[in-house]
Amino acid sequence: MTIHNITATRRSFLAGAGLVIGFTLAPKVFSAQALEGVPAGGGETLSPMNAFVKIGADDTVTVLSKHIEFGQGPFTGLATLVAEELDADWSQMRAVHSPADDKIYANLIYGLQGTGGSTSIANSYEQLRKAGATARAMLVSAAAAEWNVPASEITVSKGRIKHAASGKESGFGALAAKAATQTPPAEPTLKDPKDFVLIGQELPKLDTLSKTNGTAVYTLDVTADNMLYAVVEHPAHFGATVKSFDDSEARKVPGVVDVKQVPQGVAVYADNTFAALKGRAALKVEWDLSKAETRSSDQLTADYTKMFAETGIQATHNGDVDKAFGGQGVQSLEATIVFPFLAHAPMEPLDAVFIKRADGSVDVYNGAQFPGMDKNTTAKILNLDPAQVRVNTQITGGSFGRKAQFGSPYIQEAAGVFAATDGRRPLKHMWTREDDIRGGYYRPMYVHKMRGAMDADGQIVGWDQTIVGQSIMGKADLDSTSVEGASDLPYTIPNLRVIAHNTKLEVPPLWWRSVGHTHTGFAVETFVDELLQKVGKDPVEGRLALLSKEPRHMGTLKKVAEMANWGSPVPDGRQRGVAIVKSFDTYVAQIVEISLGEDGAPRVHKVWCAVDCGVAVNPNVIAAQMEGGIGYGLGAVLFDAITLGDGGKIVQSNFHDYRSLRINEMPAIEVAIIPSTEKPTGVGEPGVPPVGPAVANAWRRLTNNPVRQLPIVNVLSA
Amino acid sequence: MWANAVKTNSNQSTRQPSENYFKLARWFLVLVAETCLDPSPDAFHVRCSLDAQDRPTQASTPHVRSQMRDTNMITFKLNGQERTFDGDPETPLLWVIRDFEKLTGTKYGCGIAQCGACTVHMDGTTRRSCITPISTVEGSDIITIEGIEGKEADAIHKAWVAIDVPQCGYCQSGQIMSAVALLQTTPKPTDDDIDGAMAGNICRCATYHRIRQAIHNAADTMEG
Ligand code: FES
Ligand code: FES
Repeated sequence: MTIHNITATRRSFLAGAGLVIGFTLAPKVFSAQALEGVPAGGGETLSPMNAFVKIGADDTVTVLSKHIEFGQGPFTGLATLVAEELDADWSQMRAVHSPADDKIYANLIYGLQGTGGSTSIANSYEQLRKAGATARAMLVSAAAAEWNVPASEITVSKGRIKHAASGKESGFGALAAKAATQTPPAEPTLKDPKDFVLIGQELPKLDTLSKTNGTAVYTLDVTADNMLYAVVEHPAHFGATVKSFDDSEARKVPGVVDVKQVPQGVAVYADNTFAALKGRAALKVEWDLSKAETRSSDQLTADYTKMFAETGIQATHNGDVDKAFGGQGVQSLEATIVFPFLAHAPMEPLDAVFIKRADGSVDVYNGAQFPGMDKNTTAKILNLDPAQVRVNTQITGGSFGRKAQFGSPYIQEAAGVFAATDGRRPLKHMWTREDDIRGGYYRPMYVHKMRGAMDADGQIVGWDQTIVGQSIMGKADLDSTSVEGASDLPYTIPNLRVIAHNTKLEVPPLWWRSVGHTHTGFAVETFVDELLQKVGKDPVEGRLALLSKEPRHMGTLKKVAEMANWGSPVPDGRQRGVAIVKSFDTYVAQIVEISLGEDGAPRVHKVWCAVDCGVAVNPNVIAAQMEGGIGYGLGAVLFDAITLGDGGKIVQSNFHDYRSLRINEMPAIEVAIIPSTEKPTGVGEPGVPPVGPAVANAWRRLTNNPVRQLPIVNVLSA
Repeated sequence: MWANAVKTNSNQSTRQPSENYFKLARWFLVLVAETCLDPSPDAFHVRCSLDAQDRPTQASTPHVRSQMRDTNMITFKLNGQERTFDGDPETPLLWVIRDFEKLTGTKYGCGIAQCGACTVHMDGTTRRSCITPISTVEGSDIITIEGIEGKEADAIHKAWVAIDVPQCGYCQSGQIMSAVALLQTTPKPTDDDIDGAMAGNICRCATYHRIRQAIHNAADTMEG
């Protein structure tokens, strides 16, 4: 395998990938210097061992991450896997993004290059260990040739290659060039997990330093000489198009270079960001709403609720639900739960930089969650062969699913804006926060109808759940992402039915950190808790009794109960709630302790969290993802909704009306990782789903008010 | 912009003022202070989709030094170096720093003083550079993440690295600028002090748990 070559003509701020995450302090005074972005694939002076590992003469080992680093930790995680089998020292490890290549850098679960579904470690666990083991074998064989000793007598430890008998010793760097020419072993041997020295350790993250001194280069930071800055005026209705526009005032703004209509709206090109924004604000655009979504969120809820009466798509039916509900002495409980649209609102809004090179090829710098797709889309829009497009994934300010889009609609817009110019000036396209909040691709609205049947002995004997909402995958038949977590209900209930209805609307849907579990986790975990309460069972004991066939669920739930000392007295005015959700094959149980805040809303004091994600590759990253997932999920459940107002106009626009959890609202958190020898599974998303239902369960026990609509604050003030 | 900031909480204002409200109130005060220097919501802010009634009225006390001058040339110090700017005087400091000075550690997150990603120090106190027109910066001393120094900054940097605070990292320059300013005035902050100083800085990755811990750790290391 070879590493894609990147034209050597470019000025590269960070030539030599080692510097990207170098362990030196930033100079205190920066001179004005254009940062042309970090090229994918690492510096060209490094010796490639294979598609994933390059070694520098300075002993640094650079791992090419096929997964985007946006905070969830693949740079550190993948480097850990390589370093383990390479017997490297952690201090010599570096990481950069790989080039875009749907074959070499495919996500082995999806068959295309892409980050999502909390799969980065799961799909790379063997692949990256093999890459490390292969590189090790090549170094050893280079040393054997160089020293003229048998390879079998050579040892490698902490980045030093040694031959004890002759006393020869070397770092990796001195042998790297020679190692690169060695034949890689066909099938490298991997370590027995009991011999791991790095996997499972609390290793410092590779990208921390550059993220504390301002040197990490994000797409928004990429600059080129003579660069154009472009923003697009978008409609406030989904499906609206430009009818006409008047750009006479916009063109008077100093620094505005041009204004053009593009399929998504009206683009303003300027010499700097502010001029572009000011020019955009001076535009007068008339929108054609004839094909737009004009229903309000309230109307959508009413329309969705009506669909319960229609025949849906059966996702699961075990036993005989109708019979169970009609059984003698059976009591039933019914609830309708309404979920709003949610925006992802990653801290760095969508952005991209395009630079056309002298040979006609184009460099794209962006937060590429589906790099191959972004590459093909760019090529198509710019009328180039994909081989002429290089996607350079940059360190990215979050995503939560937002940057993983089939067909790359954002890149369609950005590349289209670039294509509308003559391409002679590099171009940065950015979305403002308003574009982001109003940009669609939301977690869809869903309405769940829940019915539960309890027999005279207090057993839950029937579960009937109907889910109405958009299919994220755009399916006409069953979309598993609409029902995951419900159709495969972990609780043993003899009669189970789950029905889905797909709705059609102009608001584009997308996965949002933990996808279907964002709503199914809430519906299932609040409803089972309510049923257990009705039959007088303890939330933990009652769940355990229903999970007897699910040992990993049980282990995780028992662990969290033990951490929180479940059953011990709770301080006056406080109440606890529990929830457990398995998502992406990772089991997370959480217990929250809340009180009634002075504003009448839940105040969350503490969250205990137990996670079983198989082998814990980096416990530090796992804990961070649990903490972050809890904060992200809690903010959404307490505060967030994107609503369509009268006539379908989007109501929210920025962080003032699309709230984020703030530090004063963040609970104390304790995380425990269940020891396991199972294959590692993901942690980027699974921390999110349990916190909402755990809070709602505590809230119901505290106030007697079940939460039937999210976000919680909207219901309180209603 | 402050009217808007206050509105953030108005969902809750029909109920009793919350604990959170008071904690947030401290940074609202900071914003109000900043807004008094903000001469007017310019066209850019209008674009920030605020309803007319949400916008602050034309600023009460625009003491904008540069408007007294005949020239548009604005002079200020950036990380100790004297800089001049002769472009549109309405240009927010954020974009001057990023687009013209090419110091990109200071980030854009909202443009309306809601997220703190753009936080810099102006004459020794934190400032949302996204709502600070460059015309109000004449003669001021601006420090960004690239130039922050001193024992508080050292302690904060070390504490941040030691427990790996950042996730995506995009908000962290702003977090660090706010945290350093906190330690400069309050060397031994309580949790409430931290809430008061840091509630204006959003972290979508919700690294708050570690931010709080790192600030306490930094304060501890500064004691000796
Ligand atoms: S960008 Fe200035 S506060 Fe958000
Ligand atoms: S670390 Fe990602 S927004 Fe704070």
